[in-house]
Amino acid sequence: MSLNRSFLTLTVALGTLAAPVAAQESILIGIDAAYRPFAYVEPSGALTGFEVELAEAVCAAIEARCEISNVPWDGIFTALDSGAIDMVGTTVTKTAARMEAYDTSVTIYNVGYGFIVPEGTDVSGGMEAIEGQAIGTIVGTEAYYAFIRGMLGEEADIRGYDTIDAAVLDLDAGRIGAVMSDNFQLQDQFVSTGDYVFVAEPVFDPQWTGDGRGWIFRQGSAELVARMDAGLEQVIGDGTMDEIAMRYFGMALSSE
Amino acid sequence: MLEVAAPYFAFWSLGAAFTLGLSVAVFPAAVLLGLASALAFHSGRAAAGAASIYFAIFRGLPEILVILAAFHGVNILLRTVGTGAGVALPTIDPFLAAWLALAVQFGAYAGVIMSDWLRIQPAGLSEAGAAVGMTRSQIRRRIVIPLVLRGATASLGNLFLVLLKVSALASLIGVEELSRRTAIVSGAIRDPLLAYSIAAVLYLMISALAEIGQNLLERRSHRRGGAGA
Repeated sequence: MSLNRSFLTLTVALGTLAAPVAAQESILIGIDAAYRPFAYVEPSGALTGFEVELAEAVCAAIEARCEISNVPWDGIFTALDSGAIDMVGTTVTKTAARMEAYDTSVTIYNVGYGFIVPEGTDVSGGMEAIEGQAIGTIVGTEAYYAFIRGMLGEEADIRGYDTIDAAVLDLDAGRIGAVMSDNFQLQDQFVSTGDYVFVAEPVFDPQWTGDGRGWIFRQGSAELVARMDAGLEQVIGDGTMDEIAMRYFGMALSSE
Repeated sequence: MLEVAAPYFAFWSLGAAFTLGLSVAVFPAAVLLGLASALAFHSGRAAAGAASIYFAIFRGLPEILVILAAFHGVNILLRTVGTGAGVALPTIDPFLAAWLALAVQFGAYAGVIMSDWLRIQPAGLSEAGAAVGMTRSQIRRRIVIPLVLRGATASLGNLFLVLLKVSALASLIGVEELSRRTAIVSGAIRDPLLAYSIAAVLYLMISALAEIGQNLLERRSHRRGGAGA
């Protein structure tokens, strides 16, 4: 019985065998819910997370019927191309290549870049605290390397690690002076523990961080994009998005 | 450690049940397809040619390609046709697409297995049937097919175990079976090692169930068939 019901939910959630006429009216949103706190499932199987609540808030704002389904990231763009979904509700970095191939929403939020140091370090002078020190980050991330050089000078001593956890282990051991990454990761995994602090406010300059993150649509979706953009502007403007972000990230988001 | 994952056990077990359910739904279709293609392979020329082309194509293609084609390919096709005709066609359900792809593909494997059993079946058995006045379809139904199925039970059991594991590929098109649910739980509890270790145990349990089923079937068919074969 419950297996049967889950099958039914899956079918309906993907909006596939459901009556095609009704499906026409609802907006099919695909989100990869395997990435806490952005989107994940509760033990009950219900989708939740920042992206899920944001999409729900926007749909409520424009009074649209939306069906959110859990689509694996690997196939999410193919699902969009093939019409299984109308919109990628995972917030995706708006790279030049993606903006050429797809329609995109307004920028929902920008990703900031920042540095963390162990709690207790004197950061009153801002970046001065880490000048001349070795900086750990994820190996092979061109944008990160460019940012570190931009902040600390061309001769900055950059150490690349496979994962940010490995860099932080070296920070704990005192082999490097700071760790650089995006503000979400640093806030969610490290600053929130109270053991680390940001050296300065994370930097959101598009020169370093690109065009921010947004939703992706098939080309030719101008009408749908306009509706969703209007809804986004509403929930960003009235503080709904900030409220959701506070609950999941412990901080407001910048969409400037 | 385990207490992080514990609330997800119900959600997870449902994924395991889905994996087993998908395989159980696919298998009879695959065996029927296999039997039909094996019989075709040993019949007239045109049918035999068609069967060998079927074997060659679907034993040669990777399952992942067939599953992706059955889902995304069919959806793109439906969309193109729909846009051309000016109507909105529904999209194919991922479960249906996975079922179709796996049934066709495993039908080809089963077809070759059963075709071999047909090849080594002594002609005398069919002749004996003819001698007592059975028609060709009676010989098929009462002698040929039962013997092939009994002989192939062990190989088909192996095939079922392979199917259980290959069905994980259905996760790529969004079927929430065990693998996909493991990825989801791993994303929720932020502990991939724990999540995949538990998934490994669940897979072993499903395989054990399948093996018990196979043993029961084999014992039954041997009891019925007496000593030989």
